[in-house]
Amino acid sequence: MDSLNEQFSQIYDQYIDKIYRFVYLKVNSQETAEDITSKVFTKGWEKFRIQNSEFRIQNNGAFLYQIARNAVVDHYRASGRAKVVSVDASPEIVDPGTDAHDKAILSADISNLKNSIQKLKPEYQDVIVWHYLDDMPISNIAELLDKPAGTVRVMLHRGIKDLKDIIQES
Amino acid sequence: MTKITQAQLIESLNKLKDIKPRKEWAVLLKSQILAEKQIIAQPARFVGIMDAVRFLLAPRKLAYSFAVVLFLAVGIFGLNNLAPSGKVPPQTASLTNQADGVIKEQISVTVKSLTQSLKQNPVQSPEAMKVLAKTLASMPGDVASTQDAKDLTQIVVSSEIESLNKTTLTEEQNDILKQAEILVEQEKYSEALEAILLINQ
Repeated sequence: MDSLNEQFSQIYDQYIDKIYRFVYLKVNSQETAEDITSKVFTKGWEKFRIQNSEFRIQNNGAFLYQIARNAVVDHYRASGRAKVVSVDASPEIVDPGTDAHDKAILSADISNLKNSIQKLKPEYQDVIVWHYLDDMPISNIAELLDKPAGTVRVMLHRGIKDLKDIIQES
Repeated sequence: MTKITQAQLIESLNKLKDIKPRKEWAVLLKSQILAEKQIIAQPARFVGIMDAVRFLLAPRKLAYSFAVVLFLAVGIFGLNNLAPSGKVPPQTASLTNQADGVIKEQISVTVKSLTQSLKQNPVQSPEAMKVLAKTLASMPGDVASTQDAKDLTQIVVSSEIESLNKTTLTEEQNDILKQAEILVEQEKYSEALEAILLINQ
């Protein structure tokens, strides 16, 4: 196995669960999540292999999450949900169908929470998943989003508040 | 209405950490991705090992193919009057009867004609330029190294970059476009062409 393969293999092991979960929480079926995650890592590997003096991946996590965000947007665009125009601007992404298999996998509580998260603005979904599920520090999220840490804190606060409201109204 | 505290909510969020991909799927995907080694490095010239083998074993066929597409490009650009009579046969079928050296010479003449025409009339159909970009990427090595071919590649690359800058691209495509622009600044037009083809894929 050459060095590039080895390096990407380690990156894959480190991020496969996180990227899958990140995608799965934005779509509503295991099949779709697997399909999108597969595209994310395939694209990631293609880009990883063409790194040179002009193009270097600085942060593997940020790089893969960015591909994942774009892939989810592409998925909804392709599905005809034309209201999703950009990761930051779109108000809400909800995939209507949850298949029986997925429901069986997730407990009712988790399934309800997942549905509530999907009703949040995508940018709030992202910061909540990164901070509370991936244990990513706010400074890293700020770097990933290219926003000040203060802005991320506000987004996180608003996201949690909105999520509480959604759960309480349901 | 269910009341929930922030602590309870965060505790619930932690349960979402249980969401994981199927192990067998994750293992299979990893092996599939890492097995695909030939996709990106030379996107237009050699898509896979078989393409490279075909290239080595059948240079004449490649030259014919290139010539056919190039003549089609000439047709698209309406340049049939530019090829000197007697040097470039109008029927591509007749090329199959020519020796390799003659074919390459004809390609060179066509490339030269195309370059001159594009210099004089830089505004061309975007679709035609795309066809030409793909054609140039499969140009035989000895023809590609000529000054005319380099000039033609430069014109096509510049036109494609201008066109792509007016198009809505994904973030990834924008990154590649920036790389292509850097390569143009460094006068690495062939590499810029490959980057452009990657965007157009």
